[in-house]
Amino acid sequence: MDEDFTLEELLIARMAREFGGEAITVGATLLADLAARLAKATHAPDAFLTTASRAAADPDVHAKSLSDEWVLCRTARMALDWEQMFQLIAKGRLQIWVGAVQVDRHGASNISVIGDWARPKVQLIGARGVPDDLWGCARICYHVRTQTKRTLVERVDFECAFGNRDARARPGGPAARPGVVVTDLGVYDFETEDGRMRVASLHPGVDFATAQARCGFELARPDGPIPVTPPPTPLQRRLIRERLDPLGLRRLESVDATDALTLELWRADLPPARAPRGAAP
Amino acid sequence: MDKTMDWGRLVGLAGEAGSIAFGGGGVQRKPMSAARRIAASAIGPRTVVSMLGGPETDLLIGAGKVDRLLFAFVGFDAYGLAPNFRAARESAALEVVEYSEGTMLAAYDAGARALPFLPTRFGLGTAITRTPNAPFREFDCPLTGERLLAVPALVPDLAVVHVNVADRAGNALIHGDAYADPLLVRAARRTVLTAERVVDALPRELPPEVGGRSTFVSRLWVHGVIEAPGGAGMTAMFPDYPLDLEAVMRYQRMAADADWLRTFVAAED
Repeated sequence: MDEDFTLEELLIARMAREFGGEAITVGATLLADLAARLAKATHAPDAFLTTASRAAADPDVHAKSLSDEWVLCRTARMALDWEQMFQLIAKGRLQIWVGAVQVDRHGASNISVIGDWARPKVQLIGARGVPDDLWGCARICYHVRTQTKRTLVERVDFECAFGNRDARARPGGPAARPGVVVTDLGVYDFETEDGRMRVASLHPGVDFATAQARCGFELARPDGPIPVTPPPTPLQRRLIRERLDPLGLRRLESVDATDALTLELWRADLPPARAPRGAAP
Repeated sequence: MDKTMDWGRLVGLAGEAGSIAFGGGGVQRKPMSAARRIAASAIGPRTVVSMLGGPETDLLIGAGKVDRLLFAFVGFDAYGLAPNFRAARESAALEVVEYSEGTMLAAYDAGARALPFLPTRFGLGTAITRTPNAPFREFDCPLTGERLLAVPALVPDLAVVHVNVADRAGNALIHGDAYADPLLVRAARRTVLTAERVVDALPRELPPEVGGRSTFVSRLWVHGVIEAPGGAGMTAMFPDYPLDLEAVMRYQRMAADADWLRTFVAAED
């Protein structure tokens, strides 16, 4: 990777491109959250931010914190209660990057369990809001932190959201299509005739053979040469480094992140001390 | 009516309840003091409901107090997986019913409206509708013919929600994210609030950082109130105290050890 930017900065800039307009704008991973803020700071000023701070919703753009409510409360316009949030989702007013553990060839996703649901090999976090987000936006985008044969798979172990497979057999209505998948190697879409995953671009220095070797199925290729994922622009780099993430929390999603780094950043990021427990109004 | 009560009464209500639901979400505003009292009590395993379960659900599982869990999520948000939940699931020692957020909100909403079910589009066609014990049923809308999902009402016998401030009658304010709690307290048969502060009258003027964004809970939905300063334990309680990440990480490392967990459960607030 070029010394002028990190993989995390490239991913933030790439994910930001998918956000636009006046909608609930959710980045469900730390990098995707920074992407939502970057989009609002640049091409998507109407974006309505909520991530991890629904009690401090619709804030201006602030630097990312591990205690976001303590920062976002300074400019938040409202508390978005969950009833209203799911009404907005029901009306398709959502744009989201989901952090997925598995995405499959046809764009189904899984964050719940690895292996058999009845006795999982790995119990993850449960389906959470993914089966709902599926019915709340036009396209659902996925951030997969590390591309391997176990994260890009032929078929997910548990369909938290369905993809393009057997699409005609699905219940009717306005379900989301799988949109864009980003990994540490590349950007993928589903723009083939049969809705299979296709390489949209590969990050600088990554070739197709590497991407294919770290994928559990045969990747479709675009016509012509494979584009290179565009690097973050100088403006984007400056915004990320100086305004959105001066502490460098984005490092927590790099491959060499450790618990020690998490604790170090958490300590550096503690909100200003308030009255002792039990003393405030 | 003065509804203040002590921990013994809460444990008594938990003992009478077949199902106990917890408010908050992940590592935010979890009723940790209450969960620790229930975990330390002599009551047998219960059905536990937590839309977004965190350490409160995990420690109850570790203490052997959960034989059935209704959930959409159990974890520590950005800080990893829940050790006892994970161990119990991976050894098939825990019956779970997997919801999504939207279907659990619909279940609480149906409970609050005293309806048998509510229809939703959320979850339709996904794996949560195909687990062996999924409580949902697809049906065709009698008015439009559209395929929808019927989500049965959820009426927990006891809901426990931690709030910033409550009066003795049970009026309360939640300054941080209220999650599904406003619906939960209206769905449950009984709700007990644990509160950072119990006051004679709720404040008319709020600190500037919470602005006009607090969630109000009416005494009409509340059965009991317990003063519990620091009652969210190591989880974040906006704006009173942030997450105690060191404690969260220690819990994740140690909580699968039964002796360590017993000490954690018995600790002072």
